[in-house]
Amino acid sequence: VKLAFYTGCCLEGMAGDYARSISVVFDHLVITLVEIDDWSCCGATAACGPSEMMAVALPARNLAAADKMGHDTVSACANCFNRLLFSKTIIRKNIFDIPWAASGDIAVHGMTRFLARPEIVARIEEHVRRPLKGLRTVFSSTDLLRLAFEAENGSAARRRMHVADPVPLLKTKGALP
Amino acid sequence: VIEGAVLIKQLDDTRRADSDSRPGSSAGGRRRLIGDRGSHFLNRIEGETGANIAACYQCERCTNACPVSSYMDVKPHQVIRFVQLGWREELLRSHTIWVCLSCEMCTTYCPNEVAVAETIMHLRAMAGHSTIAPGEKQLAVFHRTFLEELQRFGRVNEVWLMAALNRNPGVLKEKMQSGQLKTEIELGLTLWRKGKLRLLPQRCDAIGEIRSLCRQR
Repeated sequence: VKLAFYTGCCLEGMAGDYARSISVVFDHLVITLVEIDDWSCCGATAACGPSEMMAVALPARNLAAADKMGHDTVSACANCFNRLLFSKTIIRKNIFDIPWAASGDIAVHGMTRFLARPEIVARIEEHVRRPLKGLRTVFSSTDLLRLAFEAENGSAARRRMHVADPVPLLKTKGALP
Repeated sequence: VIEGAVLIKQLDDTRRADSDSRPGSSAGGRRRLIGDRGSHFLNRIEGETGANIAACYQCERCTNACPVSSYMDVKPHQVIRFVQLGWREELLRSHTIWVCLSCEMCTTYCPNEVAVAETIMHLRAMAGHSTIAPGEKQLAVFHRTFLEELQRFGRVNEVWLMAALNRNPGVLKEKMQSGQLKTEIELGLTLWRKGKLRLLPQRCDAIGEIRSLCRQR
């Protein structure tokens, strides 16, 4: 399996440890993360300020690069993921004239939600070395409780709130009873 | 019974004081019941964001989900109510539109699919284009600096961002007066000791494209 990996500014700077742990985990899962070619900042919260066009166009550059690579995109940063998904949704609506050829067809995954998929959880189960039994977990809500809303699935998907999604992941690691 | 009646009166008084200090009420204690533009503002925001704002029934789930609602003067559910009432000025003047992290938890939690975060972001853009001074000056400066840094390298480096932020007029002085500078230096030292600071910025090669995009926005 190959995935286009949107690193994001944080993972290059202060969250470098997160980036290293991701690369180790994905090596074990035999999933190749290919960094998006010459990626640029998604604009984060700041780009929404001056105009919506910026909030769409800045992530769109990375989506266009991922399009060219032909793999699904995965982002580890919660805000980058939000911005990429937002951009993808608006691109599909065809409102703005974006200077980059992004089709918006490429799938964008959040890292946590991707790891919580049943097939990935099964893979993780094979690699558990030290179960985290007895460890109390705290949910970082903004990342974990995200709704998997995709433009093509429309309203039905929006209603299906995947609150329980990361739970099997934690169970695998023995963190939940 | 008399004690109870006194207590109720006290509660009543505090509630009245509360409602007087609310951003929607005028100084004379007279509550403004409806905005000056009828449903014009509601229609405009709905049209521009595509958010179904009229569907809000004030269940306050958005406010409960919001990680930063305690820093907001107008809570997310009130933002939607204010839009319905057409209270444009109160919204553009509020701290809320600058405090928002755009994490979209409010949108996620809304049972009626009201796009709360998108609405707040749209209001921020409106406030940016208006002559109203931003409710959170420091945050407004921060967002502007962030975009400037983005245009410099194409990616944002935290160290360079903070340095650029502190170079803005008045920022450093304000931080020194509030004692925030000391806290920040201590935090920075901790990060440095843990090896989390990257002094050299990473660049994106297509910086020219990004700059021209930012120019034509």
